Amino acid sequence: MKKNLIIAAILFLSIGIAVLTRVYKLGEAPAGLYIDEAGQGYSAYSILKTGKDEFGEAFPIVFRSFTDFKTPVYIYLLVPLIPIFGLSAFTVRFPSFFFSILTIPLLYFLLKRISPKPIAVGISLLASFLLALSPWHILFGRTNFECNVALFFFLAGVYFFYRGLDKPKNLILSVILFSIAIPSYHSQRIITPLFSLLLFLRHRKKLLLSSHLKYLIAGLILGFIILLPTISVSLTPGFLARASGLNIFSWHRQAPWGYIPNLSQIVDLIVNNPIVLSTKEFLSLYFSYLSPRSMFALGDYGPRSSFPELSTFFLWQLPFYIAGLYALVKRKFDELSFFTIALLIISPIPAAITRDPYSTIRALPLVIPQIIIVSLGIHAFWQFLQKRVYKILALAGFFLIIFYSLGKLYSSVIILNEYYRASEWDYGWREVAQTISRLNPTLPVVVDTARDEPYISLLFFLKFDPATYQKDNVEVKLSEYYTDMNRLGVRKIGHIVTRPIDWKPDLKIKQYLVGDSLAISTQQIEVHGLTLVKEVYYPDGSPAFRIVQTNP
Amino acid sequence: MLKNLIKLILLVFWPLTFFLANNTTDFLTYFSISALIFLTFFLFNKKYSFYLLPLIAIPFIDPKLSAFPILASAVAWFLEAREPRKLILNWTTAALFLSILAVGIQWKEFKNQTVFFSDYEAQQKVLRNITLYPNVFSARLFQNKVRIVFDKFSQNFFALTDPNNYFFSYHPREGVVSSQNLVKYPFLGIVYFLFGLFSIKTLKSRKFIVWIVVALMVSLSVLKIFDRSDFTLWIPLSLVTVYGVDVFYKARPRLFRLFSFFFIFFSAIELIRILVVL
Repeated sequence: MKKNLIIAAILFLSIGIAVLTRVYKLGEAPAGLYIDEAGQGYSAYSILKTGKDEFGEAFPIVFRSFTDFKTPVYIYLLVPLIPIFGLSAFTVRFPSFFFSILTIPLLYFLLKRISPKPIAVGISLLASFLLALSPWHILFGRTNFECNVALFFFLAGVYFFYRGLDKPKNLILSVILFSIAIPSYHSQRIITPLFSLLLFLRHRKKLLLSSHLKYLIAGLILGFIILLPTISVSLTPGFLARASGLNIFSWHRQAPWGYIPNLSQIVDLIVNNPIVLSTKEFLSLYFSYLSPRSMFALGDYGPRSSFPELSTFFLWQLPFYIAGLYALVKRKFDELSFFTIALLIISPIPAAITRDPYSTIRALPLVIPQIIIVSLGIHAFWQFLQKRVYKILALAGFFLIIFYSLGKLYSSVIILNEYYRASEWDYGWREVAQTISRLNPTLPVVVDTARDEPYISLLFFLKFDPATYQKDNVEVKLSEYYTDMNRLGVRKIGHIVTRPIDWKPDLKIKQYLVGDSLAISTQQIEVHGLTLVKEVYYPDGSPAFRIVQTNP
Repeated sequence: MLKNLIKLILLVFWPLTFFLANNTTDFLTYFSISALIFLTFFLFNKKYSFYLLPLIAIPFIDPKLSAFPILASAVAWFLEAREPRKLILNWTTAALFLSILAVGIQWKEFKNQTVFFSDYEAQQKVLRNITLYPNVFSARLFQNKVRIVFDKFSQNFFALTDPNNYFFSYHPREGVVSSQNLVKYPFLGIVYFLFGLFSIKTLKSRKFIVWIVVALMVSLSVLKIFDRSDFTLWIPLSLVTVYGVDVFYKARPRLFRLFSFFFIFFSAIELIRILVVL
């Protein structure tokens, strides 16, 4: 009884830390709202108001968005939230937060089920606690990225699969959850089928028993029905846009890594052999996900998928990671080892076929096996300590490290990220939209698009009527929604037009011009005799946007 | 025959790229240091008690590597003290003493090339960041000058312990400043390396490899720029990789032959690329 209370207390402590680290300033930090976040939010808003997305397509299977297509699950999850919380940064980040919190107890129950009894509680508690504190998991729990939601559905599918081995009815639920995970995020299109296949092969004897088989078949039929819409568009350019644009094997788009130009034909054939170059690139990318350098020092290169001065794991976890790897190799190959090793091997694959080095968004499921390995290391260290006094000292040290880690998170996530990466998060459009809404509505407003896609931020922050926007802006025919990849150059949002500023004709009309500090410099204001209406600044004090009025 | 060919390919890549990318003097400098490490390995295997002495010459060949003989002697002294053999321990003590003396002679040149040099820009960034924190305690805890040195050290350390550094010239499309980004081993050689690494417990010279690698990793990590000096890792890393060839062959001879076919094919193309690029 007492033991159960302690376990429950630790689990609630983990959930409490997870909530604290993810909900604090959710929607405010990062202070900006990246265009992808605004895009998903406005698509959901448009669906809510009109049953169609901003391009006029009724309930899309994948959502048209800039030069690629977004997975649908996250956007549909946003729809019922908008009437409750309104269309805000908080709302568009809420599903990430919510599902990242749910993942903590889910991981606990999953690991408890698959770990051998003597270590089950210890490893499960440790892993869920470390996941609550994980910078990698926190980042995607505070921002609008579909990967966290997808990870939840994937793990839930795995959990119910293991439950299904004892109570076969759960297999139906498992397959349904896997079927939701697949369209939830691009990388799950590879991870979920591969992992499910491994699960099937490992437990095929049990699954093919008549007691299990009927439920498995029922689940597969339901799963197929859920996936049917996705399958129906799976060969369209829209569905494949992301994969074909980023993968290292699309040689016609970009030369393979290490390509040497200007060689004679025969030498080129040998030296620039795409199979050799792409194999090397794939393997190097793959190993980078397992490299301690990426995990503990470099982290993700992307400014929106990392925090300043913080990698994906804390440096203090390195010795435990090494000890955990040793423990993993040494231990009997049981279900916990299978789950950890299989996920460790599979998770980097979708990320490794894309060009970016160490993309933590695409490889998010990798956080689970790597956290388990760190937990195994901590557990082994705890077992190694024989004397009570050493254990007390270790515990005290552990608590100190946890406090330091929480402080480090605050330092990187709240302080440094806000100061240094505001522009990466498209900071400033909220203020621009507020200012525009207060301007003289009879004058046109031109918003410069030379370096940005501001239309979506304006639609979002102005909460512009989706029906009017759909009527005024036709990007492609609806019959070609998934196939025509052309973009609209000029967009109309009421009296606002988004297009590149053309100084000569634009100065002849009395209107407002909006642009970043490069588009509308202080010299241009002076030379063209413009009236500065508003200047929006980044948190570091540098100018983000200028709103000016022309004086023809 | 096949095994020997693979071992030869594995051994030849790094010296070849190093030779082609540098002038003869630099090549001879670092090659001679590797030769001294190999001589130490030879003396160690033959159980000569003065096996450490060749390392003392290293600070005079490259002052940047002055910390290496001290660390190597210190680690060896620590290991020997646990199972005392008086003669070896005496020689190790002598080597440690002489290494310290050698560093003393080369101190000025050595210090300026380490992570302890004063970095004005990094210090300014720390001072700027301090102003962002709500109180002095948190500012000092997360932004301090000790971290500048520690960050540089850990950056070097992780780069040196990253397998991608040796088999893929770091990460793809990663622009590594202040590095020649040499191809050090054929990329499929990572398979042999992993076989060797996971079986290191059965490798006879494991004590030497672990000891030398630890001393080299630390002494290279304290350098401002470890590029080129990291050629000193050629001997210990090659010993592990070459051992992996034997382990792989013994464990899965048929798979070994199949894999070796791909290895030779891919390595040949890489070799041609090296000759074209460099």
